[in-house]
Amino acid sequence: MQQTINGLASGSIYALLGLGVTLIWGVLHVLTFTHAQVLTWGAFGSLIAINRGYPVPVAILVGMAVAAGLSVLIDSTVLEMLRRRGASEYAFVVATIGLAFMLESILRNRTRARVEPYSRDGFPRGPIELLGQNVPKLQLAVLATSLIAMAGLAIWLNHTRAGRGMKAVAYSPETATLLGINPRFIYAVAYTVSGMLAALAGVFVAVSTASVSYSSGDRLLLTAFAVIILGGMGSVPGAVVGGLILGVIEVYATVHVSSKFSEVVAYLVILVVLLVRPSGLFGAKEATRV
Amino acid sequence: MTGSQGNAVLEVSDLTVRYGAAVALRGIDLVIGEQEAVAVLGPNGAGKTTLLRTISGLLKPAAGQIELDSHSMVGRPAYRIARAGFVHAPEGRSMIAPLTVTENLQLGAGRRARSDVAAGIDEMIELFPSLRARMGTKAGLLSGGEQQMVAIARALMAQPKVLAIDEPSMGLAPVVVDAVLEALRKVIDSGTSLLLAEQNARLALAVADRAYVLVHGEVVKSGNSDEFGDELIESYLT
Repeated sequence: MQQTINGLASGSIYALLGLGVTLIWGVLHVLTFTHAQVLTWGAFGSLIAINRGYPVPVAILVGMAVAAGLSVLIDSTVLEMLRRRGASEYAFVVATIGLAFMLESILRNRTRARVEPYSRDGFPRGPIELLGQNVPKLQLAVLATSLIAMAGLAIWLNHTRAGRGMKAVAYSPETATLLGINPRFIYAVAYTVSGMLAALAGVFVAVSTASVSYSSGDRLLLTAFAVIILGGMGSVPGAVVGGLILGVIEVYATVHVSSKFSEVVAYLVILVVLLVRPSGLFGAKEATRV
Repeated sequence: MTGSQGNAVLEVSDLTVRYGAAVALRGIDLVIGEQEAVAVLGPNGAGKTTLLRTISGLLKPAAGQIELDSHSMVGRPAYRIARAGFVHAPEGRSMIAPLTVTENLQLGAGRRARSDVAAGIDEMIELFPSLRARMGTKAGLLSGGEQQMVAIARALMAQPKVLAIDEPSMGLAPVVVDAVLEALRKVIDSGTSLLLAEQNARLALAVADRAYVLVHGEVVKSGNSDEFGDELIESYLT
C-alpha cells in the first residue's frame, strides 16, 4: 500500500511532465527537448518567490508563470522561425536540443552550479494514517494536486471553446484556420499549458528532494519520453496512465530489485513498448490526438 | 435565385496566382453580389480550387486585389478572412474526425455569443434534418453525404457573408446531392451569398445565378446561368 502510494505520487509528477510533452507533440508535432529546462526554470522561479517570503501557492504560481513565459518565448521566436521556413521535424528536434543546452548553461552560470536548498516550510508535513498505513502528507498533496491539474486539463480540452480549437489545430491546422481559428494563438496556449504543468512538476520534484539545481530536470526528460511512448504519443489519457504506471514500476523495482535498477526502468519501458506495442497503450497507429 | 450584382460583397480584380514559375490563375475578375449564388465551373485542373484557396487566404496572390465588403483581404491571414465573413468549406469536407458533429458545429460558431450557439445548431438541424440523429457521432464515422452536410453546416455556423464550397457534389449519391442543393437554395434565400466551385456544370447552374468558366487558369466565359446552354457546357466543360 505504502509503496503503491509512493509510486502513484512519483507517477503523478511523471504524468504532469508527460502531459506537457504530449500536448506539444499532439498540437505541433514537435518532440520538445526543452521541457526539462522549462521544469527547472519553473522550479527556480518558485524558489526565488519562496526565498522572498511569498506563500507557497503564490510561489507555485510564480514558477508556473516563469515556465509558461519561457515556453511561449521559445515557441514564438525560434520555433516560429522554423515553422515559417517549413523546416523538417528533425530541425525542430535539433533546435530544441540546442535551446535546452543554452538554457541549462544560463542556469548553471547564474547559480554557479550550486545545489540550492528548497525549503519545505509551508508544504504539508508529517504522516497521515490511511488504510492502516502512515503516508506522508506531502505525497498525498502531490498526488491530489497533480490529479486535480490533470482533471482540469481534461475538462478544459473537452468542454471549452479553446480546448476544441486546440483539438482542431492538432488534427488539421488548415481546416481550423478556415474556421477562423488562429493556429499561432493555439500554439502559444499549448506552450503555456505545457510550461505550467512542467513548473508544477518541477516544484514537486524540488520539494520532494528539498533541493533544486540547474540539472534537476535532466533525468526527467527521458522519463517524460518514456511516459508518452508508454501511453501513446499525443494521447492525454495515455500520458496520465503511462506516468502513473511508470511511477509504480519504479518504486517496486527499487524495493524488490535495487535502487540502481529503478534508474534504468524508463529505458526498459521505452525498449519494451517500442518492441511490443509501438503505438503505446492509448495510441492509434497514426496518433494525432490531444 | 434572387441575385444581383448591385452591391458587391466580394470583388476579385485582375488576380494572378503562381506556383513557382507556373501561372495557376491569370487576370481573374469575379464579382459576387448580396444574396447571389455564383458558380465557378471548369474541368479538373482549371484553377477552381486555387481560386477559392487564394480568396480564403491559404495561397498568396502574385498580383491583383480581393475585396470583401470593400475591405482588402490580400495579405490577411486565412483565419482573419474567415472572421471577416468569407468562409470556405474545402474539397474533401475536412472533418475534424475525432470530434462529434455537435463539436464540429461548435467549432464553426467561432466568435458567436455562447448563448447563440445552441440556436445556431438548431437552425442547422432544421436545414439538414438527417443530422439530428448523428449529432453525438464522431465526424470521421459519418458517410460522405453526411460529412458534406456537416461541412456546409459548420461553415454556416459562422454566419458568413460569402459561403464558398469546393466540389460539394463530389462522390455523393444523386439523392444526397439533391438534399445538399435544396439546402443551398435555402441558404441563399436566407441572405448568404454563395460561391460554388464545381466540375458538374449542370448541377451548379441549377443553383447559381451566374457562372464563370475557368480553363487553364483564365476566365473564358461568364454570364447568367440561363445563358449556358447544353452546347456551351459540352464545349467547355466535358
